[in-house]
Amino acid sequence: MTHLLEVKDLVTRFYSDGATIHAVNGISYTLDEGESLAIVGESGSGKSVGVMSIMGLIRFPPGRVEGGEVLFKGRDLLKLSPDEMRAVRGGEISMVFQDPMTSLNPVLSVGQQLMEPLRAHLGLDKAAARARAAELLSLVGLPNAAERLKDYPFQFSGGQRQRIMIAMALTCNPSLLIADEPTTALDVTIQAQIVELVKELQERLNTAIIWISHNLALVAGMVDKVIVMYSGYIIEQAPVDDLYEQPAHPYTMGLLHAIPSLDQRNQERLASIEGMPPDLRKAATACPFAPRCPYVIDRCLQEVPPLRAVGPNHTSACWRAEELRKIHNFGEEL
Amino acid sequence: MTTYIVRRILISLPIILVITVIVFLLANMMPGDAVMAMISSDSPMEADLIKLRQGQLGLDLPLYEQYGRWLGNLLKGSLGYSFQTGEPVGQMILTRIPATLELMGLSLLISVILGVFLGTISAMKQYSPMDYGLTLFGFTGISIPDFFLGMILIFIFALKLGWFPTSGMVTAGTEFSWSDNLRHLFLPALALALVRTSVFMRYTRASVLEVINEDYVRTARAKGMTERVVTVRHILRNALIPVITVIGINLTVLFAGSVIIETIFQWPGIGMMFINAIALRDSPVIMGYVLISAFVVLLANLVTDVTYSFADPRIRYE
Repeated sequence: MTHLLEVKDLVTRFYSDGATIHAVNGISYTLDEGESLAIVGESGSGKSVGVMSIMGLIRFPPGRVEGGEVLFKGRDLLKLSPDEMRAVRGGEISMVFQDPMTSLNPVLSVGQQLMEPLRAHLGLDKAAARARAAELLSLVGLPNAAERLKDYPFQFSGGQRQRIMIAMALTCNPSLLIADEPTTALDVTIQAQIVELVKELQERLNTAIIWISHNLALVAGMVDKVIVMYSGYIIEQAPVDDLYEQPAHPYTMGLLHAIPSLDQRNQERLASIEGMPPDLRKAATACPFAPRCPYVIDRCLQEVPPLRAVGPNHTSACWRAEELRKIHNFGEEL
Repeated sequence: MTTYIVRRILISLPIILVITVIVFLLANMMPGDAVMAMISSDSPMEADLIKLRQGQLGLDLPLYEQYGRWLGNLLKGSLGYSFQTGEPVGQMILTRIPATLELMGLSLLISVILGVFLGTISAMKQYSPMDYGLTLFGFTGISIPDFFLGMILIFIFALKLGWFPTSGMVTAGTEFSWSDNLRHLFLPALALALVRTSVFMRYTRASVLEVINEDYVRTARAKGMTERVVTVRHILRNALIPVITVIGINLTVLFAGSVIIETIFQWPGIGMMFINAIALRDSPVIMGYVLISAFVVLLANLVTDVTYSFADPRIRYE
């Protein structure tokens, strides 16, 4: 069976001030139609750069996709001409960004911005595009959609703007929607609404989703599988339940420990992962997590551990994955 | 909007009044007066003639009374009469202002189009040889005074190459034709425009660079918009808002610059009229010119504000 999206050995680097930033170091994963995937990791782990590379949104200078394949419906997106890629962007793959306050053009009306992709990709005339734009706005739950088309972004709240961004991403019924931390800039209650909205739309439109987040708890309830990234590497990949119950990488364990829980006593400090994120200017020669890892052994400092199967559909880039899974059975603890 | 405009004009009136007082005093502090400028010192009855003429023009009155007369006439709608020719000053300005507006208009057109275009290229290709070249051009342009540039242009294109006439507005003794007029207009307009071009280019570059990494530009690309649409509708549409202010301020600088350029190129506009009036101590004409310039500054600011509100919906809806 062919996958909707198949990323193979994707490498993206940035060049600035004479230094090379190894942002994404050969990541591979697949996504099927209608499936949802979460990519989690801390800032600088390469999760955003990874999807921006898929979208062809890395601009040189300073960044460049330097290797790998991105097969989308069988075509390698990295080999498409700029024109062909434009038809994919916003047409078949679309994206919702992190900060709705700055992601909309402040001087164009919301209607103009919604109509742009409709006219460019679907070739609709003005009237048809306007009608469809209003339809999309009601779809994402904005009241008085038709009248509000002429309003400007500053006349909407943050949550409303993110709904507009989502409407804009859905204009051409994309087969893949990439949501790059779409709730990070929003209040917690609005976050929940946006998550609900995306889930509901995904079910209704059968769109595949890549949900990028640094919040493991947030994505738990809404995706089929999870990829954990660290230092530009995929260090663990598993179906969502499996990952939460039996993580097979010390970093993932650390992330799960760091989720605050309600029955935590007041005096207890929040758990954190000791140490600093790695320096991306050097190519890794050892496990990038080794300096912060409580389970480090000599081998970790000598070789980069490859991603290998540790269970059904479950892969981990840790030499001691099997041992760890036995020690930590989160299913019992939680 | 209308209330705003009316309020702005009312606020400006006292400012204009103070300006006229200051200029009137300055004009009278200059050594010599209109009468001495017109009567030769070789004349046998020099002293008597001067006295007579000064009396006729009211120059023997105390300063405050002279100013009072001028202001009184202004309120009656008259700018007075030239000491030298007796022509009504209002009439003199009206006949000369089209020439100045033509010069300013073409300079503005050249500098805005060229400045915005080059500034955008410079920013989109930041740190490229093109960008460095344009930056060098920009700093050169800002550093050369326009009168000097005017003389260089005359030397190269009029005297050495002979492509354009050295001065004037039309070829003397020929019937008026637009092509002849434009040939005369080109060099002074270019001299006046180049400095502005550099200024607009630098501001556009800085402004575009600020906008180029905005999230909404990335959004536009993610929507699959062409680079042309991204540049024009998403980047420039935002980047030009602050440039509007710079253009507005430069409208007045352009008006001031035309004084020098008109004199160098013998362009018969009000700038040249003003320089001649200063040389001949023709204070009604000086005062008339000052009043017009104050009006131009006021108008330029007003036009800038109104344009600004059209370009930025966030201001329009406040």
